Amino acid sequence: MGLIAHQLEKAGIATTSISTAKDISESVRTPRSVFLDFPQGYTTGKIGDQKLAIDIVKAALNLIDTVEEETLTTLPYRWGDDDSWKDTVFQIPESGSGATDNRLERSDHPQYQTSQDREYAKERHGEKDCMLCSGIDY
Amino acid sequence: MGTNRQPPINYIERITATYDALGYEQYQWRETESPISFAKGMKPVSESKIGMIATGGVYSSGQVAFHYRDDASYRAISSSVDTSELRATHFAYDLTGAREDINVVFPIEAMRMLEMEGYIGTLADNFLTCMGGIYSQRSVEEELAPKLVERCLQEEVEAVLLVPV
Repeated sequence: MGLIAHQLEKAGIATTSISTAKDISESVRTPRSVFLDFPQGYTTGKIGDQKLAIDIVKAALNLIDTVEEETLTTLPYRWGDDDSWKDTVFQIPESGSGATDNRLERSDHPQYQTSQDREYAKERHGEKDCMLCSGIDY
Repeated sequence: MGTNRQPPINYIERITATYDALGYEQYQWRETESPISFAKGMKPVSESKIGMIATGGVYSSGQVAFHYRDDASYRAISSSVDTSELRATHFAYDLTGAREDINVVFPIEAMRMLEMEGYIGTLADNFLTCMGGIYSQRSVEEELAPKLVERCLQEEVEAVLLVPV
């Protein structure tokens, strides 16, 4: 996201981001960021918690109004009563063996959440993957 | 009572160690060194048109879904879309939360509420989504990022909320 942010800023469009990976944000140097210490996949809060999502988004947008230098602000919210969720993230045994890759296999084919979505996309974009528009609806 | 907080996860260290143990080629983490640009003369958010770019693999039913191998395309999703039409698909993160409530990776309802409250001037007609997890930085730098910038300029947004996963 750092690369995208830098090009947008150069084009005159201000950016602000929400990050759950503080070290990565520091490394790529997004111009304005809030850091939320939540697990990956919960960048803007918890399931069904609209108030929290609004507070997080507001905190990020507020940086556009208030800062003009590189900023990474840590938000106060906590995922749970303890931080045990951190114990299992990209952790490998001391021996160095037994590491696992939980990510899904790479594929060049569109990965639909539902088979119905596949049918809808076929109806709208033809039997083959629409290479011309990449499925983008203008 | 909560227990003491642990420091933020050092993802770069942990991922590097995991890839090493798996015998994968190491990912070249990007370190930005030169001074970074800041857009100048910004209007307040309450008077601006605000866009959103999210990397969680979100698409709207009817669109072609993202694929899992260096997908450098993007999708434009109407900011007034019915939230129940939104889907998430990704190879690298746990989709449980996103599939139950898309707002945890694509805070569209929060954005709409903030526009209604007047905190945001207006929302862009379309929000943009992409896949992330693209290993070639060159592909992001020369392909995806310029396409997103061009679209943001077309949408005439003045500021963008970035939501990586």
